[in-house]
Order: sequence, then structure tokens, then C-alpha cells
Amino acid sequence: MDKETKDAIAKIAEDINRKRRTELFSVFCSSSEAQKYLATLKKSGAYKNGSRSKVWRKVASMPVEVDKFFSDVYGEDYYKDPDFFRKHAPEWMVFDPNQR
Amino acid sequence: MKKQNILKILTPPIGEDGCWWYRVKNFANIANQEKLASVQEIKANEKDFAIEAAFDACDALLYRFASESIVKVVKVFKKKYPHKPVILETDDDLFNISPLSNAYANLGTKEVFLPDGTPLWQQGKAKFDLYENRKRLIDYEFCLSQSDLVLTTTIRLANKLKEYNEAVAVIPNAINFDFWPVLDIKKETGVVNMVYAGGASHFEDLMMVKEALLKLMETYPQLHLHFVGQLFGGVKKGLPKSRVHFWPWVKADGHGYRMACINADIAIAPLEDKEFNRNKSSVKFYEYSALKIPSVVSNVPPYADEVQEKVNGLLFKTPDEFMRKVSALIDDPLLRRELGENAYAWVKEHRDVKVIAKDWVEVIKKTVEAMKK
Repeated sequence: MDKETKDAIAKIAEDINRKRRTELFSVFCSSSEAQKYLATLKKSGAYKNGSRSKVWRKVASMPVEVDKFFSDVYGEDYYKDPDFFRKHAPEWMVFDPNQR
Repeated sequence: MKKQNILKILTPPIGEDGCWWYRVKNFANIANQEKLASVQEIKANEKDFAIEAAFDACDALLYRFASESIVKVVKVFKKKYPHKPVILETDDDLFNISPLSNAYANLGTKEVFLPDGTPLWQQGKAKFDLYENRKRLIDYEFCLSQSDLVLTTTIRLANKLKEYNEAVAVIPNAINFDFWPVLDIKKETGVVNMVYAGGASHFEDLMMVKEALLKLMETYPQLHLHFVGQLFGGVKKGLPKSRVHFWPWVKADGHGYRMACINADIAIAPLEDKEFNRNKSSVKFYEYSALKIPSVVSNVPPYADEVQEKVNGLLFKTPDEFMRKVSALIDDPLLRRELGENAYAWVKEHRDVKVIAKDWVEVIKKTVEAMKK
């Protein structure tokens, strides 16, 4: 099988897997670790859910639990996908104010 | 009008155990019933010419690594039909079997001794053969890497399997609700039935809560404990005989009805936190939930990935927490009802085989099309 076909099949599989990742993520978001961290951020004003404001979000890092979860579920290199956070986890995006 | 060809999937002889049921037969039944695909099984006594004709007629070969003899079949099929996919279905992390699991006999690759020096697994004893097992794992690795697509149960296991093959699609285990009826059975007033269903590989998991089970049985004289599948002597020891019930396995298609007949109020699924277990699926939780039985499960993956605390179940980390959560359910029938209903709604929405089977067919169909191009 040539590489092109191989890649095409890997993409077919990944399309199916997206549904399952979404399910996983929704359960994780309700977990106490994620909720605790989000609550702290909301309290400090650094995080605004769904906000498009130009406020610099002070989220330069994520708690290790969240990083561990992403690594487990999406693989060690999850953050290398430039669209990863926009597609899967906008809660943990870090915005560059110069691009807003 | 142009006649549309139905997708033809061929499988080797389908086993009667739960793995074959959940991973192949369950989806195949729906695919055939709903005419989403035609899934045909090669019978064990099929003649060579009939097998060859079935190979010719099919669009894809779907198999499980039930024995190493399948490797030859895969090699022949791949050589003769390079444009038809061979698809491996696998649902466990076979490279990480616990020595306390019976599966270690065929997949263990190291000798194991207890702390006092007693051999648990020793080369040449009780048919344990390290070399044969290592060869079996090499064959399994061949199947993983040479298949055109691998189907598995969870994202976690998929990530692990991607070390061997990039194309791994997650098709979760799913419930056929026709086989899991919620029955309205009357029972003796005050009795609370607690159930655990699991096979021979779950000794460690049950021992983790053994002390808590003893205390619960002592605290609640109305509590009855039902073990389905396997009853371990070490687990049973010390529990009041008259309130411990054992139900051996029945065939997979009857398991749901058997479980429903137990009329359980509470279900448990303790699971040790280890790599092998993290790559398992939450099928016990799906089964309990299909019968509206509230579950108390270990707060480790896979359960922690799908069970939401106090929403569709209860999670525990320690034996004390296990005791507290089970006690809460024994004491509060309304909580049992609420969690049971929520769990049922979750499994109906996310793990109904009639929905998941469509994904199963779709991923195979698209793979067939990709290889034809």
C-alpha cells in the first residue's frame, strides 16, 4: 500500500475518532481538577468563557492534570497542531494580543 | 437506476465469548439487519474452494487475533488481494497482561515469582512457555502493523496501538438494548442486591475492595452480593454464604437477560490503576447502565473518562470511599433511581449499537473505497 493510501486511511480513522474525543473532553471538563482550575481563572478575571474581548489572557500554562489528559488522549505532540486548541479545547487557548 | 453494491465484510469463524460478541457479532447483526453491509462468517469446517470463493466475493477481511494461525490467512489474503483491506479488531493491550490474569498463560513473556519465592509462572510448568508466548506477541505485532486498518475500543488504547499502525479507529463497545431488557421483577421487601460481573482476570480488582465488602455485608444484613462470571475463593472467603450468590457465564447473547434477572439495585466495578486496565473499555458500566442499575466504579480510566460523579454514577479511589458510596446507595433508593436513570440515558445516547454500528460500517466502507483508488 502506498503512503498516500496509508495517510488517507489514517485520516478516515481520525475522522471517526473525533466524536469519541469530544465525548471524552466533555466528561473531563466536568471533572473536579478542570473545574477547580477554571474557577480560579474566572475569579482572577483572566479567563472569560467564550469572550472575544482583547483582554490579554494570562493563561501561559496549563495545570499538569490538563496537560497529562491531553497527552493521554491526543498523544504527546498534541500541542504541535496549530489548530488543536481552537478545535478541541478553546478553554485553554493562549491568545497573542498582537494578533487580535 | 444503478444498483448500489452492498459492502461485503468477511470474518473468520466468530467465537462465542463476550469479546467476539461486543467487537464483531454485535455490529455485524445490526449491519445485516439494517442492510448497512453484508457480514459473512467463514465457518470452521468450510472447504478450501468455498473459502477462496468467499475471499473473492468480499470487499474486506475483518479478523481478531484469536490464534496465531490467523497470521497465515492474513498473509495469503494480502498477497492475493492487495486492494482489499485486512482489518484487525483488537480490544486489549496484549503487551501488558498482568501475571494475576489467566491470560498471562498465553501472553506472559517473563517468569513470575511470589515474594516468598513460590513460582507463579515458570518456564515449562503448567504448559507455560515463554518462547511460544513471545512468538505469539510477535505474530500479534505483525497483525497490528500489517493490517490496513485497526479497530479498537477507546482513544487511550488507540494511542497505544498507534505505535504499530497509524490507522486506528475507535469504535466503542455498544449495547443492543433488545438483549438488555429492563424487567419489572418483584423482590423481598428490604433486600438490596449488589452485582459484580467480570471474568477470570479481575482477581486483583475485587481483592482491592474485599475488606470493604466484608464490612458492608456486616453493616447491612439486607445486602446480597451477586457475582456473575467468576467467583474467586479468596474473594468469597469470610462473606456470609447465604447472601453471596454466584451466576456462571451464559452465552454472550443471553448475558443481558441473565443480568436483568438478578434484579440488582447497585452495581460495582473496582479496577486497579495500571496501564493494562487504563486501556480497557467501560463495558461493565454500559451493561449496568442499560439495566438502569447505578454503578460505583473506580476513579481511574476507562471509567473516569465516562462516568460523571453524582450524575451517571459514583467514583471511588480508596476502599473507604467505596464503602461510603455503596452505603449512600443502599441507604437512599431515590439516589439509586436518579443515577440509574441518568446512566441509562447516557448509554442510550452514546452507546446504542444501532448508532455505533453505522460508524463501524462507515469506517470500513471508506477504507475499502480508499484502497480501490
